Amino acid sequence: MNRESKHHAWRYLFIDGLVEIAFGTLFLLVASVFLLKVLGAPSQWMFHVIVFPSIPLMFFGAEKLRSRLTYLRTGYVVPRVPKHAHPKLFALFLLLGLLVNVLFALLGAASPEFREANAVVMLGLYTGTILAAFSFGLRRLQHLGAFAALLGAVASLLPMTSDGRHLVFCAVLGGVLLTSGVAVLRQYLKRTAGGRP
Amino acid sequence: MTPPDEAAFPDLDRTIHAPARLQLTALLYTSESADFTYLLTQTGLTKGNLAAHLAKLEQAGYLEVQKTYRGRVPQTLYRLTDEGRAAFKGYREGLASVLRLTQAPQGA
Repeated sequence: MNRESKHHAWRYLFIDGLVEIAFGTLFLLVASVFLLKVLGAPSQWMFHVIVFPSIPLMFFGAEKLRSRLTYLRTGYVVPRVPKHAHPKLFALFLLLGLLVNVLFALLGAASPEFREANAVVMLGLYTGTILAAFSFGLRRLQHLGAFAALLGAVASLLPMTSDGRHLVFCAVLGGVLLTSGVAVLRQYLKRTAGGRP
Repeated sequence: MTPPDEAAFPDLDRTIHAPARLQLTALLYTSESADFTYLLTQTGLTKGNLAAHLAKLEQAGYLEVQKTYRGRVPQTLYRLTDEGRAAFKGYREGLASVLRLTQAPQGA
C-alpha cells in the first residue's frame, strides 16, 4: 500500500484547518508572554497561568468544534497507527535530536552568547521539523515547516534581545498558522455547505 | 480449451472485488474505524447503496459495527475485522500477481 493511501485517514485530521488554528493561537499566547518580558513586566508566572492551562483547553475546544462542524459534515474517522511505525526512523530522529541537544547545551555552557543568539534558530528548526514530520505528505504543512525553520534563522539575525527574537518568531508564526487555518476552514465550510465535499 | 492455470490466476475475493466494496475496504484498512458519514463522503455513494455494501461486508464477516455515543450523539462506527484485514491483504496480493501477468515480458 502506498504512502498516499496510508496517510489518507491521517490527512483528514487537517481537512478543516482547526489544528492550525489551535497551534496558531498557542504561539500567539506564547508571544504575549514574551511581549510582557520585553516590556519588563514580571512574566514568569504568565507561562504557568496562561500558556500551560491553555494547551488542553485549546485542543478540547478544537475537538468540540470538530464534533459540531466536521464530523457532522464529512464524518469521523480514527486513523490507524501501524504496529511497527518505522521504529528505526523514530530511533534515528530521537538520536539526532539528543545529539543536537547535547551539542547545543555544551556550546551554550561554554558561551552564553552563543545560546542567546541561536536559541531561536533551534526553536525554528524544532517547529519546522515537527510540522514536516507530521505533515503526512500535505504540502501546506511542509511549506509551513520550511517557513518556521527559515523564520527562526531570520529572527536570530534581528538586532534585539533573545526575548525580542522569540517574540517576533512566535508572533509571526502564530499569525501565519492562524491565517492558514482560517483560510482552510473557510474553504472547507464553503466546499461542504451543500452537505458533501 | 485448456483450463486456466490456477497458480497463475489466483481467485480474487468477490466480496471485495466490487468497486464500491473495494473502496470501502481500502478506506477501512487504513483506519481504525470510521462512521457512516465519513464513508459516504469519501466514496461518493448514495446512502442506500453504501448501507447495502456495508451489510454485504458485515455478512461476510469482514466488518464489525459498533454502536456508541459521542457525547449525547449516537454514533455508528465501522471497522474491519481481523478476517476482513486478512481478506483485503490477500486480495491485494492476488490482484498484484494478476497484474504482473499483464506486464510485457523482458525484451519483448
